[in-house]
Amino acid sequence: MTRRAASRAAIGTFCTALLGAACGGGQTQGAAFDPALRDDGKTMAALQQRLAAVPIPVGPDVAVGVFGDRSLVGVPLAGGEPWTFEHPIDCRPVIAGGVVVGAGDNEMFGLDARTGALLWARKAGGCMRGAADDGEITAVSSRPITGLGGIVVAIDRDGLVVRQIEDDSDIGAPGIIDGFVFLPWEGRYVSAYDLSIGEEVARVRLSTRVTRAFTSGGALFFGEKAATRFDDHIGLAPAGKASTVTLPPRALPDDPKWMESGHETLPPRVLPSDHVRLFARPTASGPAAISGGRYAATHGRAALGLDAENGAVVWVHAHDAAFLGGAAYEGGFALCDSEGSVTFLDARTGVEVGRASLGKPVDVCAVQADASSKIAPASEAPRPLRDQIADVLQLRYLDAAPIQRFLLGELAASPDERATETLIDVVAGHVVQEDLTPDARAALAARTTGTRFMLEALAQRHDFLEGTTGTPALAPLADALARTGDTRAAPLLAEHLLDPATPIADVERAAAALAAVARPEELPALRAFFAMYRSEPADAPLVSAVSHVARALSRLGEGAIVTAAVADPYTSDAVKARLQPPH
Amino acid sequence: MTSKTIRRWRPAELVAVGLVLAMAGPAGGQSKGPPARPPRLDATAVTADLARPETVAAALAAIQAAGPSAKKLAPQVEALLARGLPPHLAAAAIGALGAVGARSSSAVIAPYMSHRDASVREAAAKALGNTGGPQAAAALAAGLRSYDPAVRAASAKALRSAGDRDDVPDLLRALDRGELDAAASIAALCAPDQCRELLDRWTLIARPGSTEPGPQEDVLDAMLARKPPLPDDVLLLAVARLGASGSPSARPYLQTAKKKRGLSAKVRKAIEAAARGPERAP
Repeated sequence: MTRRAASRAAIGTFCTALLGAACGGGQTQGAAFDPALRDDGKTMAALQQRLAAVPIPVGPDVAVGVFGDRSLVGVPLAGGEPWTFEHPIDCRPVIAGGVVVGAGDNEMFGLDARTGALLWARKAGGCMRGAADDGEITAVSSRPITGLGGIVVAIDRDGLVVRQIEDDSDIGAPGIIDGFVFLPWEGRYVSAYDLSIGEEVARVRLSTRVTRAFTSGGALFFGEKAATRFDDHIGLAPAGKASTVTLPPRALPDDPKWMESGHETLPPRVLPSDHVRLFARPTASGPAAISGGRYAATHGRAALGLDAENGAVVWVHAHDAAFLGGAAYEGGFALCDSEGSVTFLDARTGVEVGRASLGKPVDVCAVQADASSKIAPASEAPRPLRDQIADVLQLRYLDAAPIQRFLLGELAASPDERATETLIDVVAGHVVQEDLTPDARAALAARTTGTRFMLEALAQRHDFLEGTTGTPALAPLADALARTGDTRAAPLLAEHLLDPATPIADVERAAAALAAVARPEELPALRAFFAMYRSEPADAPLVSAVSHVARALSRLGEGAIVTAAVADPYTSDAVKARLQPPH
Repeated sequence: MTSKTIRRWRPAELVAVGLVLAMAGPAGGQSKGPPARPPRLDATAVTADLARPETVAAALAAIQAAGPSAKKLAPQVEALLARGLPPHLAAAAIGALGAVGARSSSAVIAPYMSHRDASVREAAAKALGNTGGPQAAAALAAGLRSYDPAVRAASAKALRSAGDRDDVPDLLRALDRGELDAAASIAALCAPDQCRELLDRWTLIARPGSTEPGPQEDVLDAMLARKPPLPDDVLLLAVARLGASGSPSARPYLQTAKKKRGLSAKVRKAIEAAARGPERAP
């Protein structure tokens, strides 16, 4: 008889005795965690050795959503029809291996994740913090209705509670292996509870915050901001030497999180944080790392693939609906959206490699994709990142600005010189929303490569006969070219300087650039401009432009013109003030 | 200084003279009767006035009123303009140079075609039509490309006197894009084939319901005024186009046009026939 079979026999006897009281299992109330138990990791290391050979089952790939107050919908991601289950829903459902756990109207229920068939239901208050399932037992951690402490119930497939654990400490999302339930608590400890005897048998203190246990790829992990693998290094966790992986520090818009705190319970309605998430899959063996070297971030209708070493943006995906949730799998990400679609994105390239559908729009969504393997062929080359970013910049939806602003920054810093071309198109084509226009122009002005694209754009002039207009990107182009010091820009800037169709603010920037790049060939234009506008009394950009042109004239050896203008009665006081150096 | 017959004009008088000149119509237009005799200037006094900000406006107005007779003062005004003036004085200086009509002024006026003040731009375009020369033509050709409709119109008109056949292709493009003022200039400058191209665009020019003379009459008038005359086939085609337009304004014009000198018998006959209108069935 295996350990589980033996313990089941004992628990069955115990529950039979208590079923009439609707408890159904052993209870540990008030102080579930033994104050005398050491937390130096030795007991946990011993348990790890004992369980090392026990396989951790991989649950079915499934997406589950909620729509309305009482409808749960799920779909197997490997193929199959969506299922629907009607029940009042007060809490966000949790996928735990082969079971979907839901709660509402003071009842908790478990569904077969593949089919939506009801497995069990029992009276319960409070919402789930998390759940785990090892194929036979489902452990559910809930927030007590008092809001204080934690309560964990272990339920078998027949709906019998084989163990109920209560403690004054906050207990996070559990894990389970072969009848041992792993409980993160107080944000620092993980305790292993032997369900068969109702005792804490091992404990470890982690060096990083821990509120969740979860399985991935056949391994058990603990964490929240980081993931620590339950492997032969777990005993070193107090010293910070366990197999722990973190995501690289990277400032992303609205500060997405990899994992929400396992102490929280979530409502069945969408939260802003649902749209802004990180998805990563820690490796199940070998050195602690992120699988495939990629993690994903979602923000509204955009998904980003990021390098797990340095956080660099590798790909960007523009989506047709807002992302609500998802999961990382080996080689990709399965992301669920508000329209009820689950989109599979290749981790390496961001290429869409498949879709599944819940069949209807949903309010919230969760995905389990541990067994998925949808990836793009190695031969498939992704579109250039700059084009992918441009796709996102064109999206129009509420709250798009933060991610679009972030991606403009990526374009600004991109080593790809064609990013300059993309930014010119973005600015000139009025691609971004109005409130982002200054950001787009600033990004273009910050470019130092792609000069040929800048010059091409700068050559665009207003011409009635040709039916063309001047470039709306003149000012940032002038700023960028001034920084590069490329004198090829000078004749083009001079034309814009003298063109009355050029907006005055752009004239000012063109003049500023000419102060840096004008050559003797531009002197006629500079003289003409200076003569025409040195009497300007009030228009601040124009006055500023005149002063820039004066600097250009002086630099090119025509300072006498400027000196004479200072003494001339037709030069406005405003211009004189800019021409005379401050004393 | 002995000023026997030279009279110093004062600003108020200049305004009156300006009005008279304005009523006489622009140079190169369809002016009727001899132009008003321009006043003579006290060049020394005007030169002194040009040097003082408080009198420069009056001096410029005096030069404008004097017109070509003030040619000696053009270099001083050109120098002022080259150094730069406030927009209202720049427009006045340009107007003065335009009235003087010295070719040397074109270079200094040309940049003002792109001044940010619309009145300065328009004044420059008009003035260049009078000062002429290659620099004027180049600036006016560029003016056809301006975003400012007033500059385009003024340039199209001014090219009639300052331009040549090389400007016709751009004038045709301007006409195609709705610049009707280009039509008469094309008619005044076109080579025969270019004239036919213009007449092929008659629907752009024609104003069938118009009771007032407009571009269609201007086109024929410009063609009939050409020296040497355009080939008869071109003129006959133009007459036929206007005759067929059916506009109320065409017949009075044709009645006048048939009296023009230098027309071939064929053309005159065609104009007479067009002026009578379509033959009625007996």
